[in-house]
Amino acid sequence: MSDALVDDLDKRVLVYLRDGRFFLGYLRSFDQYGNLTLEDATERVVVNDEAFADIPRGLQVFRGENVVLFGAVDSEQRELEFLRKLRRVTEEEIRRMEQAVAEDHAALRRRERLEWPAFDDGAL
Amino acid sequence: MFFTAILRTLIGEDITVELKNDLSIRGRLEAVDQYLNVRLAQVQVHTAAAPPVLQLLHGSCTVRGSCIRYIHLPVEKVDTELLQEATRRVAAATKETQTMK
Amino acid sequence: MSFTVGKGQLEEPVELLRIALDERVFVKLKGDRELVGTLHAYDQHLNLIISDAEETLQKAELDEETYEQIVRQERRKLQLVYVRGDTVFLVSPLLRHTGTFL
Repeated sequence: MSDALVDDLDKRVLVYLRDGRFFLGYLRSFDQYGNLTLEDATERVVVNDEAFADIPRGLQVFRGENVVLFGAVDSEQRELEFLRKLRRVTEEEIRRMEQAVAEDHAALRRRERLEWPAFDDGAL
Repeated sequence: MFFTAILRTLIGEDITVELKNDLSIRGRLEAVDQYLNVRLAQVQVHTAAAPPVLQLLHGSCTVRGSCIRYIHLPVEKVDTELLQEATRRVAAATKETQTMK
Repeated sequence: MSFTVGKGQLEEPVELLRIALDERVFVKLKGDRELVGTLHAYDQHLNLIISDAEETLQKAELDEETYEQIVRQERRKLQLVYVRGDTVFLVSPLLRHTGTFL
């Protein structure tokens, strides 16, 4: 990543990964491959627009190729507004909820599978 | 670097970046690098069923080039004839350097 | 539209695209997508800039009871797009007046 694209050093950022996960934390460094390090990272899992869990992850290094996007989240008001609409649950509970949702999705995908699947699974 | 230069002419314009996972993000183009990574200001998520966590983004965000499917460009801000001419020139120059090798 | 393959005329596949500039092209993309539009720019990665395009997305559903595959096509119009080259399978110039692929 060139300097023009990373303006967020030492800011609290949201990182969105290719596997769909979200991490919040302080951006401490980056390199030419877009590798990132986040300090005080939290993985935020939201299920069904209704429940969320914040899982502390400490110091995280993300390999650039796994990152979709990242950006500052510097509005406390926005975050509070966002969290107010959701019910906080434990990591265990959110994993159970995720599992239930995943099972529903698998059933849906079985119905939508093409005869000749694309070379990749159509995701990133 | 050709497409980097093309996209750089649109810095300051509102564009919509459509990702390979169908997510669409609208924003003002701030920067483009050699990998066609893109920085957008005043981002808005434009997809209905997008993950709600994305609403936390405030201000600018950087999108990795390899995750982009399309960038929807403002038709009134682009001179397509100029694009074609530039493409021909670049293609000729590339052929030139390859013949010399 | 005529061209000669070989020395002095067309040597590389990408050179076919130069002839297709400002012409209608058919593009096949990953994820069962197809585009038909006017080509304005390309590079060696097959990054493209296309205008006045129609995108067709093939969606298939498997009916749970009859196990019949139902194919749906979703179309949309794209005025001016940059297309990232790593999603492109093929680009083909459409012959003028006939809409046939080369």
